[in-house]
Amino acid sequence: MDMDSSPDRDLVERTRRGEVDAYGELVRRYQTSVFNVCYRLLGERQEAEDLAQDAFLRGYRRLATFDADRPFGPWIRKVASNLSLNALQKRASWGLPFDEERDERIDVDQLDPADEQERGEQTARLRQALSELPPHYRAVIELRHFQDLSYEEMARSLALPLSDVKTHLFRARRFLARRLRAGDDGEARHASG
Amino acid sequence: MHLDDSILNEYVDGRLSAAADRQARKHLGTCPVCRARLVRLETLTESLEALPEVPLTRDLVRPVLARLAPRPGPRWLGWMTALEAVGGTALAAYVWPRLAEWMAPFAQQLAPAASVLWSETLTKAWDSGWSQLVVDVRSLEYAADLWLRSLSAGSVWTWPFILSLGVAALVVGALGNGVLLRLPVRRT
Repeated sequence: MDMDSSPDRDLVERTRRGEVDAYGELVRRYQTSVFNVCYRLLGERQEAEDLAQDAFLRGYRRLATFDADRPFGPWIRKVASNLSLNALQKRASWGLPFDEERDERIDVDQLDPADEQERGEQTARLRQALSELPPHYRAVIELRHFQDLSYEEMARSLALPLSDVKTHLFRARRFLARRLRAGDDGEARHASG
Repeated sequence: MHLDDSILNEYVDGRLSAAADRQARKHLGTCPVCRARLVRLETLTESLEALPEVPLTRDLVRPVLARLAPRPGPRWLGWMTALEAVGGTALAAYVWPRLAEWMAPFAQQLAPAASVLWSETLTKAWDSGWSQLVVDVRSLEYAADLWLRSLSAGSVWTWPFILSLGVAALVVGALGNGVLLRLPVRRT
């Protein structure tokens, strides 16, 4: 069967039999989503790309423990989020800013129609607000909204009591909502002035 | 009285019990303030989940595969290791009897001295003190002296023997390098 059209399960089995190229196809399929997990949590492009590579390497080594009946994508993204959370914990200074140059490029790419521009600005503001979240809030937002974990799974993943997970999540959402509202108010003042 | 933040959040996440969910729904039907808060919260969660992915600037496939694939050593390394193993075994077979012969005088002298040291002297040392230990150390010195004399007499200390010792040392060193520096092969 052609590698491009092989289901993930076949690629996992072939990798387990020693076909490294089959794992290359899995990397090709999931590299962007895995990178985005790392990028949202770390906020730094170079570090996120390096960590995404490490996530795939760790995934390869732990493939024997992976249940091939389950989808590969969520599993490898969870590996990436665990690695990123470890990296966040090791950081001496929390909350590095997002890669400004890259974010500007995304905005320029989306400048054509007016609604696209507005959506691009909203996206940029949301990214900016995410990057300003304290890391433990960023972690719960990532796990809940991007990895679709339940409260209990988040508590296990972060080794926190369920009550702390809920508190972090609600406060993180409030923080984001305030940041976005402050941005909207600022824009409205700018437009009327 | 408005819904508190935790109830509103758990309502959005579908975490409330059936009874609590009904109560919240009833309140939201009548309270425009809480309804506005709910809309803001739902808009935020939708925006988060619709956040587009940032594209990668470089492909990760090649660097990942490069770190996965076992790096092949030079082709000659396999032959070299085989040669080292055969040479090492042959030399060991050649050297071992001569080495045993060479060590015989020392071993003969050392054996009784050592047995005295370990079996008797240590227990005697507890009982009768230091003097017996000194006597046995002197017997060891005597054994070493005898061994050195046998070497200088030239019974086994010949040029072929010295040469074979040197070659053996080189081969064992090369064999050690061949084994230790062999790159690890990852298993799936």
